[in-house]
Amino acid sequence: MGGFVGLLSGIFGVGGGFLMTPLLIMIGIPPTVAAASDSNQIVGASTSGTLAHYHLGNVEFKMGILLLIGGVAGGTVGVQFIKILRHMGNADFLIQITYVIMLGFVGIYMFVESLQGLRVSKSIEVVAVPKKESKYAMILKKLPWQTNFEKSGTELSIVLPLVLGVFVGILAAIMGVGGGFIMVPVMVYLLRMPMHVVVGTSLFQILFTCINVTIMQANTNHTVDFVLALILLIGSTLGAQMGAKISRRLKGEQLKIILASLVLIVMVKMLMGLLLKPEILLAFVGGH
Amino acid sequence: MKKSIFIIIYIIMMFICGQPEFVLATASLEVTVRPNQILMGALYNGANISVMGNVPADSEVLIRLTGHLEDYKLKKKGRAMGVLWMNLGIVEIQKVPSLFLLYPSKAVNDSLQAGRQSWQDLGLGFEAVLKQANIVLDSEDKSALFEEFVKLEKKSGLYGTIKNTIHYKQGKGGMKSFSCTLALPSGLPQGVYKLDVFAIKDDAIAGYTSKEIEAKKVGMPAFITSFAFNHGTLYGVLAVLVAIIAGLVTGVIFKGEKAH
Repeated sequence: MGGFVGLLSGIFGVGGGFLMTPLLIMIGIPPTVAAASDSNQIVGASTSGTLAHYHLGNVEFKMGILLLIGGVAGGTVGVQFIKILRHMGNADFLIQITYVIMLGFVGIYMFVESLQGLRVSKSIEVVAVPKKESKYAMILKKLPWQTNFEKSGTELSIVLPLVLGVFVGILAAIMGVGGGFIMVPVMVYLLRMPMHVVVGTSLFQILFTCINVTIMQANTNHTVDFVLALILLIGSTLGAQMGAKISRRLKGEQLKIILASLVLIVMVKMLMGLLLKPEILLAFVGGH
Repeated sequence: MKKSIFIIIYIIMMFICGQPEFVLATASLEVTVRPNQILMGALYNGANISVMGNVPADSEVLIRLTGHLEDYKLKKKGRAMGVLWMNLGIVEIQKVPSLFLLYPSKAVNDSLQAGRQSWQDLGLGFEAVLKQANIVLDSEDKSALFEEFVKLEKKSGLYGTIKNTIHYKQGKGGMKSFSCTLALPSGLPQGVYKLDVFAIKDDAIAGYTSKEIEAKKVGMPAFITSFAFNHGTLYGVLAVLVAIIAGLVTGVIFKGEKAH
Protein backbone atom coordinates (compact mmCIF):
# COMPACT_ATOMS: atom_id res chain seq x y z
CA MET A 1 0.00 0.00 0.00
CA GLY A 2 2.80 2.39 0.98
CA GLY A 3 4.67 1.64 -2.24
CA PHE A 4 1.62 2.27 -4.42
CA VAL A 5 0.72 5.57 -2.76
CA GLY A 6 4.40 6.65 -2.80
CA LEU A 7 4.50 5.90 -6.53
CA LEU A 8 1.48 8.17 -7.11
CA SER A 9 3.10 10.81 -4.96
CA GLY A 10 6.32 10.72 -6.99
CA ILE A 11 4.55 10.74 -10.34
CA PHE A 12 1.89 13.38 -9.73
CA GLY A 13 3.11 15.45 -6.79
CA VAL A 14 0.09 14.63 -4.62
CA GLY A 15 0.34 13.54 -0.98
CA GLY A 16 -1.78 10.44 -1.46
CA GLY A 17 -3.87 11.04 1.67
CA PHE A 18 -7.04 10.82 -0.43
CA LEU A 19 -6.20 7.19 -1.18
CA MET A 20 -4.19 5.95 1.78
CA THR A 21 -6.55 7.07 4.56
CA PRO A 22 -9.61 5.23 3.17
CA LEU A 23 -7.44 2.16 2.46
CA LEU A 24 -6.21 2.11 6.07
CA ILE A 25 -9.77 2.49 7.38
CA MET A 26 -10.80 -0.42 5.13
CA ILE A 27 -8.24 -2.73 6.80
CA GLY A 28 -9.54 -1.82 10.24
CA ILE A 29 -7.42 1.15 11.40
CA PRO A 30 -9.53 3.74 13.30
CA PRO A 31 -10.12 6.82 11.06
CA THR A 32 -8.37 9.30 13.38
CA VAL A 33 -5.27 7.09 13.62
CA ALA A 34 -5.36 6.42 9.87
CA ALA A 35 -5.45 10.15 8.99
CA ALA A 36 -2.72 11.16 11.46
CA SER A 37 -0.37 8.25 10.68
CA ASP A 38 -0.90 8.85 6.98
CA SER A 39 0.28 12.46 7.42
CA ASN A 40 3.39 11.11 9.14
CA GLN A 41 4.23 8.72 6.31
CA ILE A 42 3.57 11.45 3.70
CA VAL A 43 6.39 13.43 5.37
CA GLY A 44 8.77 10.58 4.43
CA ALA A 45 7.34 10.06 0.96
CA SER A 46 7.41 13.77 0.11
CA THR A 47 10.98 14.15 1.47
CA SER A 48 12.05 11.27 -0.75
CA GLY A 49 10.04 12.60 -3.70
CA THR A 50 11.25 16.19 -3.28
CA LEU A 51 14.86 14.98 -3.19
CA ALA A 52 14.37 12.88 -6.30
CA HIS A 53 12.76 15.79 -8.16
CA TYR A 54 15.46 18.16 -6.88
CA HIS A 55 18.11 15.93 -8.47
CA LEU A 56 16.11 16.08 -11.69
CA GLY A 57 15.96 19.89 -11.46
CA ASN A 58 12.20 19.96 -10.88
CA VAL A 59 11.83 21.91 -7.63
CA GLU A 60 11.11 25.65 -7.74
CA PHE A 61 11.99 26.46 -4.11
CA LYS A 62 11.17 30.17 -4.35
CA MET A 63 7.64 29.45 -5.59
CA GLY A 64 7.18 26.63 -3.06
CA ILE A 65 8.06 28.91 -0.15
CA LEU A 66 5.70 31.67 -1.34
CA LEU A 67 2.84 29.20 -1.77
CA LEU A 68 3.62 27.74 1.63
CA ILE A 69 3.46 31.14 3.37
CA GLY A 70 0.11 31.83 1.70
CA GLY A 71 -1.04 28.27 2.49
CA VAL A 72 -0.30 28.60 6.23
CA ALA A 73 -2.18 31.93 6.37
CA GLY A 74 -5.09 30.48 4.38
CA GLY A 75 -5.12 27.32 6.51
CA THR A 76 -5.46 29.41 9.67
CA VAL A 77 -8.36 31.36 8.15
CA GLY A 78 -9.93 28.11 6.90
CA VAL A 79 -9.76 26.45 10.33
CA GLN A 80 -11.60 29.42 11.89
CA PHE A 81 -14.13 29.36 9.07
CA ILE A 82 -14.80 25.65 9.60
CA LYS A 83 -15.24 26.26 13.34
CA ILE A 84 -18.00 28.78 12.60
CA LEU A 85 -19.62 26.36 10.13
CA ARG A 86 -19.46 23.49 12.62
CA HIS A 87 -21.13 25.73 15.16
CA MET A 88 -23.88 26.45 12.63
CA GLY A 89 -24.16 22.70 11.92
CA ASN A 90 -23.48 22.87 8.17
CA ALA A 91 -19.80 21.96 8.06
CA ASP A 92 -19.98 18.37 6.83
CA PHE A 93 -22.41 19.25 4.07
CA LEU A 94 -20.23 22.12 2.87
CA ILE A 95 -17.04 20.04 3.02
CA GLN A 96 -18.46 17.23 0.91
CA ILE A 97 -20.14 19.49 -1.61
CA THR A 98 -16.92 21.56 -1.94
CA TYR A 99 -15.02 18.33 -2.57
CA VAL A 100 -17.36 17.12 -5.30
CA ILE A 101 -17.57 20.50 -7.05
CA MET A 102 -13.83 21.22 -6.84
CA LEU A 103 -12.74 17.76 -7.90
CA GLY A 104 -15.35 17.65 -10.64
CA PHE A 105 -14.42 21.04 -12.03
CA VAL A 106 -10.65 20.53 -11.82
CA GLY A 107 -10.81 16.93 -13.11
CA ILE A 108 -13.01 17.69 -16.12
CA TYR A 109 -11.03 20.82 -17.05
CA MET A 110 -7.67 19.06 -16.79
CA PHE A 111 -8.91 16.02 -18.67
CA VAL A 112 -10.40 17.96 -21.59
CA GLU A 113 -7.49 20.40 -21.80
CA SER A 114 -4.78 17.70 -21.76
CA LEU A 115 -6.75 15.54 -24.22
CA GLN A 116 -6.87 18.49 -26.63
CA GLY A 117 -3.16 19.06 -26.02
CA LEU A 118 -2.34 15.44 -26.86
CA ARG A 119 -4.46 15.53 -30.05
CA VAL A 120 -2.90 18.79 -31.23
CA SER A 121 0.66 17.60 -30.65
CA LYS A 122 -0.09 14.40 -32.59
CA SER A 123 -1.93 15.74 -35.62
CA ILE A 124 -0.83 19.27 -36.32
CA GLU A 125 2.56 20.52 -37.19
CA VAL A 126 3.25 23.53 -35.09
CA VAL A 127 3.55 26.68 -37.13
CA ALA A 128 5.43 29.50 -35.49
CA VAL A 129 2.66 32.07 -35.29
CA PRO A 130 3.01 34.65 -32.52
CA LYS A 131 0.18 34.09 -30.03
CA LYS A 132 -2.04 36.93 -28.92
CA GLU A 133 -1.54 37.57 -25.21
CA SER A 134 -4.57 36.67 -23.08
CA LYS A 135 -6.19 39.17 -20.68
CA TYR A 136 -5.07 37.02 -17.76
CA ALA A 137 -1.45 37.20 -18.92
CA MET A 138 -1.73 40.97 -19.30
CA ILE A 139 -3.10 41.35 -15.76
CA LEU A 140 -0.26 39.17 -14.43
CA LYS A 141 2.30 41.45 -16.05
CA LYS A 142 0.79 44.52 -14.41
CA LEU A 143 1.10 43.13 -10.87
CA PRO A 144 3.91 44.58 -8.69
CA TRP A 145 7.11 42.84 -7.47
CA GLN A 146 7.79 40.79 -10.60
CA THR A 147 10.32 38.02 -9.90
CA ASN A 148 12.08 35.55 -12.11
CA PHE A 149 11.37 31.87 -11.42
CA GLU A 150 14.25 30.11 -13.15
CA LYS A 151 13.14 26.46 -13.04
CA SER A 152 9.71 27.36 -14.39
CA GLY A 153 11.12 29.76 -16.95
CA THR A 154 8.53 32.42 -16.01
CA GLU A 155 8.46 35.88 -14.54
CA LEU A 156 5.62 36.52 -12.09
CA SER A 157 4.62 38.85 -9.30
CA ILE A 158 5.17 37.32 -5.85
CA VAL A 159 1.66 38.56 -4.98
CA LEU A 160 0.06 35.87 -7.13
CA PRO A 161 1.55 32.75 -5.45
CA LEU A 162 0.88 34.34 -2.04
CA VAL A 163 -2.80 34.98 -2.86
CA LEU A 164 -3.26 31.57 -4.50
CA GLY A 165 -1.51 29.95 -1.50
CA VAL A 166 -4.10 31.58 0.79
CA PHE A 167 -6.92 30.32 -1.44
CA VAL A 168 -5.59 26.75 -1.50
CA GLY A 169 -4.91 26.89 2.26
CA ILE A 170 -8.54 27.84 2.96
CA LEU A 171 -9.86 25.08 0.70
CA ALA A 172 -7.43 22.51 2.15
CA ALA A 173 -8.53 23.40 5.68
CA ILE A 174 -12.21 23.13 4.73
CA MET A 175 -11.71 19.86 2.88
CA GLY A 176 -9.30 18.43 5.48
CA VAL A 177 -6.59 17.44 2.99
CA GLY A 178 -3.00 18.46 2.30
CA GLY A 179 -4.02 20.40 -0.78
CA GLY A 180 -1.88 18.67 -3.44
CA PHE A 181 -4.92 17.97 -5.55
CA ILE A 182 -5.84 21.64 -5.71
CA MET A 183 -2.29 22.98 -5.71
CA VAL A 184 -1.20 21.03 -8.81
CA PRO A 185 -3.91 22.48 -11.13
CA VAL A 186 -3.40 25.95 -9.58
CA MET A 187 0.32 25.83 -10.42
CA VAL A 188 -0.30 24.48 -13.92
CA TYR A 189 -3.13 26.78 -14.99
CA LEU A 190 -2.85 29.92 -12.88
CA LEU A 191 0.91 30.11 -12.28
CA ARG A 192 1.69 28.71 -15.74
CA MET A 193 4.44 26.40 -14.47
CA PRO A 194 5.64 23.37 -16.49
CA MET A 195 4.06 20.11 -15.26
CA HIS A 196 7.35 18.48 -14.20
CA VAL A 197 8.34 21.47 -12.07
CA VAL A 198 4.82 21.52 -10.62
CA VAL A 199 5.17 17.94 -9.37
CA GLY A 200 8.47 18.60 -7.57
CA THR A 201 7.36 21.95 -6.14
CA SER A 202 4.03 20.53 -4.95
CA LEU A 203 5.85 17.74 -3.09
CA PHE A 204 8.15 20.30 -1.45
CA GLN A 205 5.09 22.22 -0.22
CA ILE A 206 3.21 19.08 0.92
CA LEU A 207 6.25 18.11 3.01
CA PHE A 208 5.80 21.17 5.23
CA THR A 209 2.00 20.90 5.40
CA CYS A 210 2.27 17.30 6.62
CA ILE A 211 5.02 18.10 9.14
CA ASN A 212 2.62 20.63 10.67
CA VAL A 213 -0.34 18.19 10.67
CA THR A 214 1.70 15.33 12.19
CA ILE A 215 2.98 17.42 15.10
CA MET A 216 -0.46 18.96 15.72
CA GLN A 217 -2.16 15.54 15.69
CA ALA A 218 0.48 14.01 17.98
CA ASN A 219 0.15 16.88 20.42
CA THR A 220 -3.63 17.29 20.42
CA ASN A 221 -5.18 13.91 19.64
CA HIS A 222 -2.31 11.41 20.26
CA THR A 223 -3.38 9.60 17.12
CA VAL A 224 -0.07 9.19 15.26
CA ASP A 225 0.76 5.46 15.14
CA PHE A 226 4.47 5.57 14.56
CA VAL A 227 4.87 1.83 13.91
CA LEU A 228 2.14 1.93 11.27
CA ALA A 229 3.65 5.06 9.68
CA LEU A 230 7.10 3.42 9.67
CA ILE A 231 5.81 0.33 7.86
CA LEU A 232 4.06 2.52 5.26
CA LEU A 233 7.16 4.72 4.99
CA ILE A 234 9.38 1.88 3.79
CA GLY A 235 7.12 1.36 0.78
CA SER A 236 6.21 4.99 0.16
CA THR A 237 9.76 6.43 0.17
CA LEU A 238 10.87 3.81 -2.36
CA GLY A 239 7.67 4.32 -4.35
CA ALA A 240 8.21 8.09 -4.46
CA GLN A 241 11.68 7.59 -5.99
CA MET A 242 10.37 5.24 -8.63
CA GLY A 243 7.46 7.63 -9.27
CA ALA A 244 9.81 10.55 -9.87
CA LYS A 245 11.65 8.52 -12.52
CA ILE A 246 8.41 7.44 -14.19
CA SER A 247 7.19 11.04 -14.09
CA ARG A 248 10.29 12.17 -16.00
CA ARG A 249 9.56 9.67 -18.78
CA LEU A 250 5.96 10.80 -19.27
CA LYS A 251 4.96 13.90 -21.20
CA GLY A 252 3.34 16.80 -19.31
CA GLU A 253 0.02 16.19 -21.09
CA GLN A 254 0.11 12.49 -20.28
CA LEU A 255 0.76 13.25 -16.61
CA LYS A 256 -2.13 15.70 -16.56
CA ILE A 257 -4.58 13.31 -18.19
CA ILE A 258 -3.76 10.48 -15.76
CA LEU A 259 -4.02 12.81 -12.78
CA ALA A 260 -7.31 14.20 -14.13
CA SER A 261 -8.66 10.63 -14.39
CA LEU A 262 -7.64 9.95 -10.77
CA VAL A 263 -9.31 13.16 -9.63
CA LEU A 264 -12.50 12.23 -11.48
CA ILE A 265 -12.52 8.70 -10.00
CA VAL A 266 -12.26 10.17 -6.48
CA MET A 267 -15.00 12.69 -7.33
CA VAL A 268 -17.35 9.95 -8.62
CA LYS A 269 -16.63 7.85 -5.51
CA MET A 270 -17.49 10.80 -3.26
CA LEU A 271 -20.62 11.56 -5.26
CA MET A 272 -21.75 7.92 -4.97
CA GLY A 273 -21.11 8.15 -1.23
CA LEU A 274 -23.46 11.11 -1.10
CA LEU A 275 -26.17 9.53 -3.23
CA LEU A 276 -26.21 5.88 -2.09
CA LYS A 277 -27.48 4.81 1.32
CA PRO A 278 -24.47 3.88 3.49
CA GLU A 279 -24.15 0.33 4.81
CA ILE A 280 -23.86 1.66 8.38
CA LEU A 281 -25.57 4.88 9.47
CA LEU A 282 -22.98 5.69 12.14
CA ALA A 283 -19.29 6.54 11.83
CA PHE A 284 -16.53 7.26 14.31
CA VAL A 285 -15.74 10.94 14.73
CA GLY A 286 -12.42 11.90 13.11
CA GLY A 287 -10.42 11.27 9.94
CA HIS A 288 -10.09 13.33 6.76
CA MET B 1 -49.62 -14.09 61.04
CA LYS B 2 -46.63 -16.47 61.03
CA LYS B 3 -47.92 -18.03 57.83
CA SER B 4 -48.15 -14.66 56.01
CA ILE B 5 -44.58 -13.70 57.09
CA PHE B 6 -43.38 -17.05 55.77
CA ILE B 7 -45.17 -16.44 52.46
CA ILE B 8 -43.62 -12.94 52.12
CA ILE B 9 -40.13 -14.31 52.88
CA TYR B 10 -40.74 -17.14 50.38
CA ILE B 11 -41.82 -14.66 47.65
CA ILE B 12 -38.77 -12.44 48.29
CA MET B 13 -36.45 -15.49 48.14
CA MET B 14 -38.04 -16.67 44.89
CA PHE B 15 -37.70 -13.20 43.39
CA ILE B 16 -34.02 -12.95 44.33
CA CYS B 17 -33.29 -16.47 43.10
CA GLY B 18 -34.93 -15.65 39.78
CA GLN B 19 -32.34 -12.95 39.00
CA PRO B 20 -29.50 -14.17 36.81
CA GLU B 21 -26.85 -12.35 38.84
CA PHE B 22 -27.85 -14.32 41.92
CA VAL B 23 -27.55 -17.58 40.02
CA LEU B 24 -24.16 -16.40 38.74
CA ALA B 25 -22.97 -15.80 42.26
CA THR B 26 -23.86 -19.27 43.53
CA ALA B 27 -23.27 -21.83 40.75
CA SER B 28 -19.68 -22.45 39.69
CA LEU B 29 -18.01 -24.23 36.79
CA GLU B 30 -14.52 -25.66 36.39
CA VAL B 31 -12.86 -23.72 33.59
CA THR B 32 -9.26 -23.30 32.44
CA VAL B 33 -8.19 -20.33 30.30
CA ARG B 34 -4.83 -20.34 28.51
CA PRO B 35 -3.17 -17.89 28.26
CA ASN B 36 -4.86 -15.40 30.56
CA GLN B 37 -2.50 -12.63 29.51
CA ILE B 38 -2.02 -11.41 25.94
CA LEU B 39 1.24 -9.61 25.31
CA MET B 40 0.86 -7.29 22.35
CA GLY B 41 4.31 -6.75 20.86
CA ALA B 42 5.29 -5.11 17.59
CA LEU B 43 4.20 -8.18 15.59
CA TYR B 44 0.84 -8.69 17.38
CA ASN B 45 -1.79 -9.59 14.83
CA GLY B 46 -4.59 -11.07 16.95
CA ALA B 47 -4.36 -13.91 19.48
CA ASN B 48 -5.99 -17.24 20.26
CA ILE B 49 -7.25 -18.04 23.75
CA SER B 50 -8.04 -21.62 24.67
CA VAL B 51 -10.97 -22.18 27.06
CA MET B 52 -11.62 -25.66 28.47
CA GLY B 53 -13.88 -26.98 31.19
CA ASN B 54 -16.67 -29.27 32.34
CA VAL B 55 -20.41 -28.65 32.39
CA PRO B 56 -23.41 -30.85 33.26
CA ALA B 57 -24.03 -33.27 30.39
CA ASP B 58 -27.54 -31.97 29.78
CA SER B 59 -26.50 -28.30 29.50
CA GLU B 60 -25.11 -26.12 26.70
CA VAL B 61 -22.20 -23.67 26.83
CA LEU B 62 -22.10 -19.94 26.08
CA ILE B 63 -18.87 -17.98 26.43
CA ARG B 64 -18.98 -14.19 26.62
CA LEU B 65 -15.99 -11.88 26.46
CA THR B 66 -16.58 -8.27 27.47
CA GLY B 67 -14.40 -5.17 27.78
CA HIS B 68 -14.63 -2.21 30.14
CA LEU B 69 -17.49 0.27 29.69
CA GLU B 70 -16.76 3.19 27.37
CA ASP B 71 -18.47 6.27 25.94
CA TYR B 72 -18.47 6.84 22.18
CA LYS B 73 -19.07 9.95 20.08
CA LEU B 74 -20.32 9.05 16.62
CA LYS B 75 -21.41 10.83 13.48
CA LYS B 76 -24.98 10.05 12.51
CA LYS B 77 -25.68 9.81 8.79
CA GLY B 78 -29.01 10.69 7.32
CA ARG B 79 -30.70 12.08 4.23
CA ALA B 80 -30.43 15.78 3.57
CA MET B 81 -32.70 17.52 1.05
CA GLY B 82 -34.21 14.12 0.24
CA VAL B 83 -31.28 13.10 -1.97
CA LEU B 84 -27.90 13.31 -0.25
CA TRP B 85 -26.62 11.01 2.50
CA MET B 86 -24.37 12.86 4.89
CA ASN B 87 -23.43 13.37 8.52
CA LEU B 88 -26.34 15.10 10.20
CA GLY B 89 -25.09 15.32 13.74
CA ILE B 90 -23.31 13.69 16.63
CA VAL B 91 -24.70 10.85 18.72
CA GLU B 92 -23.26 9.86 22.08
CA ILE B 93 -23.50 6.23 23.11
CA GLN B 94 -22.41 5.84 26.70
CA LYS B 95 -21.73 2.91 29.02
CA VAL B 96 -21.19 0.25 26.39
CA PRO B 97 -18.44 -2.38 26.51
CA SER B 98 -15.32 -1.78 24.42
CA LEU B 99 -15.48 -5.46 23.40
CA PHE B 100 -18.49 -7.78 23.28
CA LEU B 101 -17.97 -11.20 21.77
CA LEU B 102 -20.33 -14.15 22.19
CA TYR B 103 -19.26 -17.74 21.53
CA PRO B 104 -22.42 -19.87 21.71
CA SER B 105 -22.67 -23.64 21.23
CA LYS B 106 -24.80 -24.68 18.27
CA ALA B 107 -27.90 -25.28 20.43
CA VAL B 108 -27.52 -21.93 22.21
CA ASN B 109 -27.03 -20.20 18.89
CA ASP B 110 -30.20 -21.80 17.48
CA SER B 111 -32.09 -20.56 20.53
CA LEU B 112 -30.56 -17.11 20.02
CA GLN B 113 -31.60 -17.08 16.38
CA ALA B 114 -35.15 -18.05 17.34
CA GLY B 115 -35.24 -14.84 19.43
CA ARG B 116 -37.06 -16.47 22.34
CA GLN B 117 -38.15 -14.17 25.14
CA SER B 118 -36.58 -16.50 27.73
CA TRP B 119 -33.20 -15.89 26.14
CA GLN B 120 -33.62 -12.13 26.37
CA ASP B 121 -34.69 -12.54 30.01
CA LEU B 122 -31.32 -14.09 30.80
CA GLY B 123 -29.69 -10.76 29.97
CA LEU B 124 -26.60 -12.24 28.33
CA GLY B 125 -26.75 -10.96 24.77
CA PHE B 126 -26.74 -7.66 22.89
CA GLU B 127 -30.15 -6.74 24.40
CA ALA B 128 -28.44 -6.55 27.79
CA VAL B 129 -25.88 -4.11 26.36
CA LEU B 130 -28.67 -1.94 24.95
CA LYS B 131 -30.47 -1.98 28.33
CA GLN B 132 -27.48 -0.61 30.23
CA ALA B 133 -26.41 1.81 27.46
CA ASN B 134 -27.18 5.48 27.62
CA ILE B 135 -27.88 6.90 24.16
CA VAL B 136 -27.86 10.69 24.03
CA LEU B 137 -29.96 12.04 21.18
CA ASP B 138 -32.96 14.26 20.61
CA SER B 139 -35.51 12.00 19.04
CA GLU B 140 -35.06 8.69 17.35
CA ASP B 141 -35.51 4.99 17.79
CA LYS B 142 -32.75 4.12 20.26
CA SER B 143 -32.73 0.41 19.45
CA ALA B 144 -32.36 1.12 15.70
CA LEU B 145 -29.43 3.40 16.47
CA PHE B 146 -27.89 0.78 18.75
CA GLU B 147 -28.23 -1.77 15.95
CA GLU B 148 -26.15 0.56 13.74
CA PHE B 149 -23.58 0.85 16.53
CA VAL B 150 -23.34 -2.95 16.78
CA LYS B 151 -22.88 -3.13 12.98
CA LEU B 152 -20.05 -0.60 13.24
CA GLU B 153 -18.32 -2.50 16.06
CA LYS B 154 -18.84 -5.82 14.28
CA LYS B 155 -16.97 -4.40 11.30
CA SER B 156 -13.98 -3.71 13.60
CA GLY B 157 -14.23 -7.26 15.00
CA LEU B 158 -14.88 -5.92 18.51
CA TYR B 159 -18.52 -7.06 18.69
CA GLY B 160 -20.02 -10.22 17.32
CA THR B 161 -21.37 -13.72 17.69
CA ILE B 162 -18.83 -16.32 16.70
CA LYS B 163 -20.46 -19.64 15.90
CA ASN B 164 -19.23 -23.23 15.82
CA THR B 165 -16.29 -22.75 18.16
CA ILE B 166 -17.52 -24.89 21.09
CA HIS B 167 -16.69 -28.58 20.93
CA TYR B 168 -17.86 -31.23 23.39
CA LYS B 169 -16.44 -34.55 24.61
CA GLN B 170 -18.11 -37.21 26.71
CA GLY B 171 -17.21 -36.87 30.42
CA LYS B 172 -17.77 -38.82 33.64
CA GLY B 173 -20.32 -38.49 36.43
CA GLY B 174 -23.06 -36.79 34.43
CA MET B 175 -20.64 -34.17 33.07
CA LYS B 176 -19.23 -33.41 29.62
CA SER B 177 -16.07 -31.51 28.76
CA PHE B 178 -15.96 -28.60 26.35
CA SER B 179 -13.22 -26.72 24.57
CA CYS B 180 -13.23 -23.48 22.61
CA THR B 181 -10.62 -21.33 20.86
CA LEU B 182 -11.36 -17.63 21.03
CA ALA B 183 -9.78 -15.70 18.17
CA LEU B 184 -9.20 -12.16 19.41
CA PRO B 185 -9.05 -9.30 16.90
CA SER B 186 -5.86 -7.50 15.91
CA GLY B 187 -7.46 -4.18 16.88
CA LEU B 188 -7.97 -5.29 20.50
CA PRO B 189 -7.42 -2.30 22.79
CA GLN B 190 -5.22 -2.65 25.87
CA GLY B 191 -7.15 -3.56 29.03
CA VAL B 192 -8.62 -6.22 31.30
CA TYR B 193 -11.41 -8.30 29.78
CA LYS B 194 -14.02 -10.40 31.55
CA LEU B 195 -14.55 -13.92 30.29
CA ASP B 196 -17.88 -15.41 31.42
CA VAL B 197 -18.71 -19.06 30.88
CA PHE B 198 -22.36 -20.07 31.21
CA ALA B 199 -23.89 -23.54 31.31
CA ILE B 200 -27.45 -23.18 30.02
CA LYS B 201 -30.18 -25.72 30.59
CA ASP B 202 -33.87 -25.30 29.66
CA ASP B 203 -33.35 -21.61 28.86
CA ALA B 204 -31.95 -20.95 32.33
CA ILE B 205 -28.45 -20.56 33.71
CA ALA B 206 -27.40 -23.81 35.34
CA GLY B 207 -23.76 -22.95 35.99
CA TYR B 208 -21.40 -20.03 35.71
CA THR B 209 -17.84 -18.94 36.18
CA SER B 210 -15.85 -15.81 35.38
CA LYS B 211 -12.17 -15.28 34.54
CA GLU B 212 -10.08 -12.28 33.61
CA ILE B 213 -7.88 -11.86 30.55
CA GLU B 214 -5.41 -9.03 30.37
CA ALA B 215 -4.30 -7.54 27.06
CA LYS B 216 -1.11 -5.60 27.53
CA LYS B 217 1.18 -3.77 25.14
CA VAL B 218 4.81 -4.75 25.61
CA GLY B 219 8.18 -3.79 24.15
CA MET B 220 8.24 -1.14 21.44
CA PRO B 221 4.43 -0.63 21.19
CA ALA B 222 4.18 -0.14 25.00
CA PHE B 223 7.02 2.39 24.97
CA ILE B 224 5.55 4.23 21.98
CA THR B 225 2.04 4.39 23.52
CA SER B 226 3.37 5.75 26.80
CA PHE B 227 5.64 8.23 24.99
CA ALA B 228 2.84 9.40 22.66
CA PHE B 229 0.47 10.13 25.55
CA ASN B 230 2.96 11.66 27.97
CA HIS B 231 5.11 13.70 25.57
CA GLY B 232 2.82 14.39 22.59
CA THR B 233 4.76 17.23 20.94
CA LEU B 234 8.16 15.58 21.31
CA TYR B 235 6.67 12.35 19.97
CA GLY B 236 5.31 14.24 16.95
CA VAL B 237 8.65 15.97 16.30
CA LEU B 238 10.53 12.64 16.53
CA ALA B 239 8.01 10.92 14.24
CA VAL B 240 8.55 13.71 11.70
CA LEU B 241 12.35 13.50 12.04
CA VAL B 242 12.36 9.73 11.49
CA ALA B 243 10.13 10.16 8.42
CA ILE B 244 12.44 12.88 7.01
CA ILE B 245 15.55 10.76 7.66
CA ALA B 246 13.88 7.75 6.00
CA GLY B 247 13.02 9.94 2.98
CA LEU B 248 16.54 11.39 2.80
CA VAL B 249 18.26 8.01 3.15
CA THR B 250 16.11 6.56 0.35
CA GLY B 251 16.87 9.64 -1.74
CA VAL B 252 20.62 9.29 -1.20
CA ILE B 253 20.57 5.54 -1.95
CA PHE B 254 18.74 6.16 -5.21
CA LYS B 255 21.06 8.99 -6.14
CA GLY B 256 23.99 6.62 -5.52
CA GLU B 257 22.43 4.05 -7.83
CA LYS B 258 22.07 6.69 -10.51
CA ALA B 259 25.78 7.57 -10.33
CA HIS B 260 26.91 4.03 -11.15
